[in-house]
Amino acid sequence: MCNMTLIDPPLSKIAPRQIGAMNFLGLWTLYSREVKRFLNVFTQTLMAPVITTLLFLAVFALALGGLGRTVGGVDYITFLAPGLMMMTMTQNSFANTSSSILIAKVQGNIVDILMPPLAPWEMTLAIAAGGVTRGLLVGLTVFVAMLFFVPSGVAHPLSALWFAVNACLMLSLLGMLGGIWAQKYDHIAAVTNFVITPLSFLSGTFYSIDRLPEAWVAVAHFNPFFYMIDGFRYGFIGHADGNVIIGYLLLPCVNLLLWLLTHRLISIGYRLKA
Amino acid sequence: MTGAGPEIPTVSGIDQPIRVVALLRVWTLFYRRGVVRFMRFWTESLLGPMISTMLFMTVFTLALDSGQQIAPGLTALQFVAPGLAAFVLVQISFQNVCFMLIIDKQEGVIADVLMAPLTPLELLLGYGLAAVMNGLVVSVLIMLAMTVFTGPMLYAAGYTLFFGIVAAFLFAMIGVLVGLWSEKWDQFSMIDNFLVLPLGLLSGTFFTLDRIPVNLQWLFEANPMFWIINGFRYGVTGYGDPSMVLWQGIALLIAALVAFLAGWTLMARGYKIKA
Repeated sequence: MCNMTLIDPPLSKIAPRQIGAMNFLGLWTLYSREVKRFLNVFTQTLMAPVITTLLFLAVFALALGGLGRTVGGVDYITFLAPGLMMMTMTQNSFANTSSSILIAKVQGNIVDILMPPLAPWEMTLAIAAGGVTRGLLVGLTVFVAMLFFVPSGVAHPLSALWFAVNACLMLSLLGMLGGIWAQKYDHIAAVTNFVITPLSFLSGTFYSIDRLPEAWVAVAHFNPFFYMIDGFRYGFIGHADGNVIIGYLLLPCVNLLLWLLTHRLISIGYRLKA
Repeated sequence: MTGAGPEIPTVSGIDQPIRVVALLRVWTLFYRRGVVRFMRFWTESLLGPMISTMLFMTVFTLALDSGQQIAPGLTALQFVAPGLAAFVLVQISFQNVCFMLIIDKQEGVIADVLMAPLTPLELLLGYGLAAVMNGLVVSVLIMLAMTVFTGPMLYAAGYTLFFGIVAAFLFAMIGVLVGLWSEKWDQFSMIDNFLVLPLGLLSGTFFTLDRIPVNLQWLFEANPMFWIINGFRYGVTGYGDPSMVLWQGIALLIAALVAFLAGWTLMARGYKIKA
């Protein structure tokens, strides 16, 4: 990756590049690196999630739908589709940032990211944006594919977009935190298996939250995953289990906190710098 | 991958006493490299599939109308549980052997394995049986854990055992083929994502065939994963047509034999592992 053929030009011709308040070029370079990283293996990072999501849609619609069953006032499949889309988007955003950082750490090329004159916030932004890009790209592809199977319009497109972007950002930041914290692939697999997947499975992707036992309904109302799935679904079917307004406001707040934490860890170089 | 070392003598030819399989040699590859490696990463290899299966069960419990019955005395959850266990069994056997082979190839360790005096058959069994073992361990644990949702079930243990072992063996052998063929993770994950997973999900793990339009049902009946899940489920719950299960079992056995012979041939040729 880092080609070590350094040819020394005469020293007199070198002058340091002047960087203003913001290193646009560096930011853009790191961002495009993040995007190219997953596009390079697009069968794994784009096609596979899309196919899996469509299969899930088929399987769950066959197993749980049928007999004119409705949830939240719509067909089960119409209810399920936005939930599955959200699940895929979030899982991919998380996978992108966490694996990017962890692989760079394990392979040792994290120094190539730490060495250039990038401020911590620029690093955070570029990597998180890469994760958001993958999440949205997967989501969009799934959406287009689902148009063929799911008879539904989009009730509030801007709401859907708001929740999609915020959810992808949240999981990208969580992925960065996970990637920074993890030291082995095991660690990140554990976070994925024991935290991210359960949260995305159990927060209302497949069922209306009112099917939960009483005590868990209360818990659900403190779960950001619930708000992002519920809000995103509201954008599609125009019906929400919880309070959409809370979701509108809660997600950016959570994102802000996660952003500050990630930024802090990158500034102090926690598990990144020697 | 193909080191410039001395040429590796082919084991089968030169003055070696005729033997079918040397147990110790297979055991070393099977246990020391296969099973121990698997167990070392138990959070990923064992706990991961268990958690995701439990999540599926939870989702089904919450999403299904309680008490919905597939057949008299068989709830939808009891229907889904053995299907999930069989699916996980197949997936792990397949993935495990691919992981072992691809990692060994990428890290160049395969040369050490090839240097050892192992016949191609021993190599095949060493890699393959480790994956079978790992798949069986995980699916037994999953079956036990799922009794939380379903209560204890076992209708005909012989069927369950037969289908479990043959299925794991079949997919371990297919895994050998894919693992030998794959030079990059991309190739493996292509087969995994676009073949094994769809076959598994569209196999009647989660729903009965009467949910499918009649003119499409043959598609499912022709799916080997459906035979596996159907037979395995018959052994666990007694749901299904015994004569049909019998034929599916025979078909699976033949498929496993073919895959085994194919794997043996590739190993003997050193397909993509010898210079």
